[in-house]
Amino acid sequence: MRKLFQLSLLALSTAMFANTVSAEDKVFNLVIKNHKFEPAEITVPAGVKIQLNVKNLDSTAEEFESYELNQEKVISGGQEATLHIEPLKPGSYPFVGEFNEDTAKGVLIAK
Amino acid sequence: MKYLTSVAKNLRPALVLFGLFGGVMGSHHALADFKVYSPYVEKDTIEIEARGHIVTDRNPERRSARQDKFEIGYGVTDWWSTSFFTEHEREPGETYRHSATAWENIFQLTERGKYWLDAGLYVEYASAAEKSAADTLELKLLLEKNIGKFSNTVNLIFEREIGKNSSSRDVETSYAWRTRYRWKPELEPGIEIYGGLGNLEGLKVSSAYSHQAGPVISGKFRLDSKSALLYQVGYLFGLNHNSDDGAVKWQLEYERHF
Repeated sequence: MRKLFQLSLLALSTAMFANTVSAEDKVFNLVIKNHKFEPAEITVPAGVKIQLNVKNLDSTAEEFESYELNQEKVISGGQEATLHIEPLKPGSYPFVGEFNEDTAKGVLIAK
Repeated sequence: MKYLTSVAKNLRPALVLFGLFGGVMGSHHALADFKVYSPYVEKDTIEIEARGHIVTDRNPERRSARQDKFEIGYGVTDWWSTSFFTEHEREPGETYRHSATAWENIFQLTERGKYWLDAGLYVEYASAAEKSAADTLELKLLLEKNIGKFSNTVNLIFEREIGKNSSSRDVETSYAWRTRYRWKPELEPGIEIYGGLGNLEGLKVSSAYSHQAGPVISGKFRLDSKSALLYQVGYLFGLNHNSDDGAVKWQLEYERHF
């Protein structure tokens, strides 16, 4: 039992330590409106961890999906989600709103 | 820490319930469960899953062993998914039978990617099908770290028998590890490793317990904008004399967002 607590404390303390690092993440904002991303193209710095705030202004849920960014998140209508993206190599990383993929398309460009 | 605090606050009733069951876990499972759990939860998603494994061994008695699980689950919130499954197995020399019905819960403890390591908690209560068999409680610490295209997941597993048929208060521990290469959604090659660590008090990697490892491939095919079919197949080689020669594992899952 004691070892279980030790393992849990180790995991939590690791998380807390990392939290102080993530406080310096660069923050970017994205909106979903009429099943489209605004802006549809967003430029971020390469090589640093970023935070992407995605606000869904539609009344229906949407799923932010990007295999390239290793992100998958359902965002209810009228809600906001925060995505934490690991440092990226320079390049283009497409993302979609999986529930409305015909219109909800975007690309994140790391420079 | 806001997310962690929120999860901890909402988890309080579940933890109280968990405490009533006697703390940390146990397992009726005579056969290993060859699945590595990710700490991530998908809200408003229903999952229907069938999975199992069949032992391959030169010894005809061991060779006949198999286990299957049929599961249905739902992502209730951003941080909690719950599911029920039935387990059917054939232990060496015995007939194929329904062995347990279980309730499992996954609590995502950290926002994906926010910290250096993503963490989750798995809690399972399994009711044995046989009247004389003990029910079990199982706790898994789910940890995941993504590095480039490699996704690494570790489960630390704690099991204990509970209820009137419980014959031991020991907490048995084991581990499960998966590293997969995110090549493309439909095909991700990887390796998985499973093994026992023994009683919690004497925690150690020992040849006295079985250890298995082998290649697996998994993938996801989208059916439409809200549903997908996921699969996994693999072969696990026994790593020591306490392990079966090998096991073929498989998994098929249908998921749908609402």
